[in-house]
Amino acid sequence: MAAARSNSIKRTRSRGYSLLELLVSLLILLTVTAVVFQQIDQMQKKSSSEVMKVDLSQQAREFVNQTIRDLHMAGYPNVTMYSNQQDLTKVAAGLVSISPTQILFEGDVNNDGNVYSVDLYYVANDPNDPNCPCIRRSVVQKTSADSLNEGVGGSYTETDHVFPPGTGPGQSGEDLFTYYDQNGGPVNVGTGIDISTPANAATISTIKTIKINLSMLTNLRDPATPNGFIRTSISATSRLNQ
Amino acid sequence: MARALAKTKSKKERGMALLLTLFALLLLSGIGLFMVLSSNTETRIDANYGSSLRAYYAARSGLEEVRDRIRTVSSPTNPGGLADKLPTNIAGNPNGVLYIVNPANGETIDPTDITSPYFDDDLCHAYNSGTPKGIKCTGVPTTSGWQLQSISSQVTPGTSPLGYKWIRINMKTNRTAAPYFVDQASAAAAMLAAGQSGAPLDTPVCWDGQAEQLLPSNSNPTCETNGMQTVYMLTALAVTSQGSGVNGTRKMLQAEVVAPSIRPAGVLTTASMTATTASVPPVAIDGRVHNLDGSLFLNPDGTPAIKNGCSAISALATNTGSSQMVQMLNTIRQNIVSTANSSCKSDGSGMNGNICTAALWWVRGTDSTTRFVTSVTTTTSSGGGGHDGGSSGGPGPSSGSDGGDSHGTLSGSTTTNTPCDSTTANCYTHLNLSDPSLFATSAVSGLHVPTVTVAANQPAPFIGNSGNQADSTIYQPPASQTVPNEIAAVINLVALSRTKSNYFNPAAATLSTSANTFGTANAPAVVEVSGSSLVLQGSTANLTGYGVLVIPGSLEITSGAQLHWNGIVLVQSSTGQLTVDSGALGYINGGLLLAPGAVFSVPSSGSSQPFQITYSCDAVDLAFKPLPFKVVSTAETSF
Repeated sequence: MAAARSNSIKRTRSRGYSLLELLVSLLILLTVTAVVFQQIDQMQKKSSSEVMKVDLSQQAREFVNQTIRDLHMAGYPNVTMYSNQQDLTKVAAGLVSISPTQILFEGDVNNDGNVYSVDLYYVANDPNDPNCPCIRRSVVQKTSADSLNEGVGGSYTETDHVFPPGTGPGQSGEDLFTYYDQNGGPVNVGTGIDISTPANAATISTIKTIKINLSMLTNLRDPATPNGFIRTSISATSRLNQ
Repeated sequence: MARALAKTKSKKERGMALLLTLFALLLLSGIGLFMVLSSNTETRIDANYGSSLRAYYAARSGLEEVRDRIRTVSSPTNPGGLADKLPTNIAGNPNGVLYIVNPANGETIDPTDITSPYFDDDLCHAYNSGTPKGIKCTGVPTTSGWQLQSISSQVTPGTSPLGYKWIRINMKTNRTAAPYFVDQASAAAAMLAAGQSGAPLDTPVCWDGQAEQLLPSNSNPTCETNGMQTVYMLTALAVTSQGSGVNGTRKMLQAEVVAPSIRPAGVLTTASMTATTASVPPVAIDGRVHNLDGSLFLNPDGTPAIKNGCSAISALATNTGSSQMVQMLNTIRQNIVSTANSSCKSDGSGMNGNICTAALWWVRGTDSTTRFVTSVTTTTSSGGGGHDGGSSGGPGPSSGSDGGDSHGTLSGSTTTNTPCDSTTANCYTHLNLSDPSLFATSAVSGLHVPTVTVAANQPAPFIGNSGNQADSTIYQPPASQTVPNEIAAVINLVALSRTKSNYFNPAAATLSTSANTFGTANAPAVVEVSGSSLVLQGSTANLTGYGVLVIPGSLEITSGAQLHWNGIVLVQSSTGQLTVDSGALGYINGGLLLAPGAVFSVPSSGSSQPFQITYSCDAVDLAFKPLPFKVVSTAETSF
């Protein structure tokens, strides 16, 4: 009877788990779970990072798209479309003032029968705007024959957290705007020129293509790469009609 | 019992692991799915961006294809040429619209089909359809024959990655320019707002070499006959496909294009003339359309024709004010009439020792009185009851003088000669200088005037389309800048050519006594003579060429010297002079432009072979051949 009971207990115990087995299985489970959660965490970081990249790319594309379309309308309607020029506010001067970080031009950018003065410019630092370096766009309807003094409209930030353009240290390596003539040769605009002098106006008139080189950073640190920001660059060229 | 408990425990433990595994898998799947979705969104953004770019450049490629093809006329060796197939009227009227279609393989493109995804929903803004700008069109013109037969693209179907769908070609009008009316006048805006049609809203737009002008409201119906080029509006539609069907980007671009060449306002554009000719001047300024070889372009029935939109122009054009030229032309008429009346009898025989040529006899006429007089003799009796002579035509051939020149005086009366009244039909001012009979080679007597023999399509001293000034041989563009702009276009061409191999800068001295040739019909030259003036001196001087000849100062072609130029001759100096001496040989076939202020010196009589200055669009265009059609503007429309 005792032997039978002992055998029965033995069988029962042999079917259960020993403490060691439990501990080992728990350890395995914890390890697997840890690995899984580590992967999940990495994926979450990657996912967040991808979302930031998508947002960044989209923001860059929207800026480039709008800029290209604006530039396509630069200089429309031009002076040769009129038999007389009584109303110079209906004449778009095309490129008015240009630099590696700024383009001031005129054109019917809204397709509404009015000529607008559009100013695209890089802002390196704005104490009131922590999102700068940024690029802003000012649009004002042309009201004066003097293209260089059309007044200032409301400036809206087009893109935030622009990586400083230029070829100096700590800069992107390219100017924000570069200019080319009809043969594809670069047009040197130095630190900036405008149409106030005949020589500079002649230089500006040779420009047929503008290349936009935009580098941007995310506004938050990249969770996938600690202590780093995601940087994206986009380049596009716009053929002018002037 | 214990066994059952153990079994239960064991099952629960296995289930826990399964649950955990499933949970982990679920999480991983969710994250994976999110990443895939994000990736898809990114891909779609990329695709849309790329689609937009493709559509834009596809539309531009279409504009460029048409811009290239309209440079040339179609021929067996150049079937793609469009210059002879362009609209001849404004949109909404017969032959007002031409479509170039570019279907993909198996695709049908009909821009006029309202149900087509490629329907032209911008056309109605080019005519008075009632649909305001900004609203898409829902119909096409109801006028019969409003569009020309569509023409296929030159791009091989299915091979072009930048396939546009169609290009519309129509003439630009003030309506299509809205709200940027070419004349910036409120009249067109008011008409547009009121839904009206007609001038100035539906007036075609022309190009004078530097700027757009509205077609002047006169009897000359085209830009070409007003010294300008027609401006064409090209509208391109490109639609990209994504997946199956038409659901990609739609882009519509518009460009205004114009031929790089000019259309002179007259064969000879000048501000003033001098003339000392005593008879019919040995010069033929012919505004009818000529071919490149100098022959007259004719209809099959032999009448002068319009060549690819190029119509006859007037012989003379002036920038501002034609009174000096009118006066000089009348001086020429007066001299011819005086010479005829003093040289010819009514039977065509000479008198006063002068030779009566067939042309002078034609001027003199066969009646006893001359056809034309230069003055009127008035006899006033001092004693009352005098005789009012009023003779017009003079004493007849037997007197050997012009009417009014040799009347005797009655006793007690006075005779005075006064210039004839230009309103009377027999005044010399009515001598038609565009009549080829002035170059008649022989004549026989006829009723009132002799019957003369002239060569087929014989020119006249001043022949061509009627102008718009007091003298019908003169045209003055309504816009004062038209002539300076034409000249500026030529100067621009020269400036662009200075670095090219077809540019020549010979010294005037080297050309003056030697034979020189510049350019060919296939390779025209741009010749800018250096030095102040060029005198082609004597029979050894022979300047021949194709293209543009620019004289900085004055040009003189002396007797026996030859100038054979096909293209444009420009005397650039405002103080310059173009002198064609009697006996000068050759021609200018194309157009002759004198800068405002420069003077044309009409050769005097004495040469049997007139120096010819003939109008030829082909020759003028030849000079501008290296240049593409000019794009006046390009814009992306909202449609």
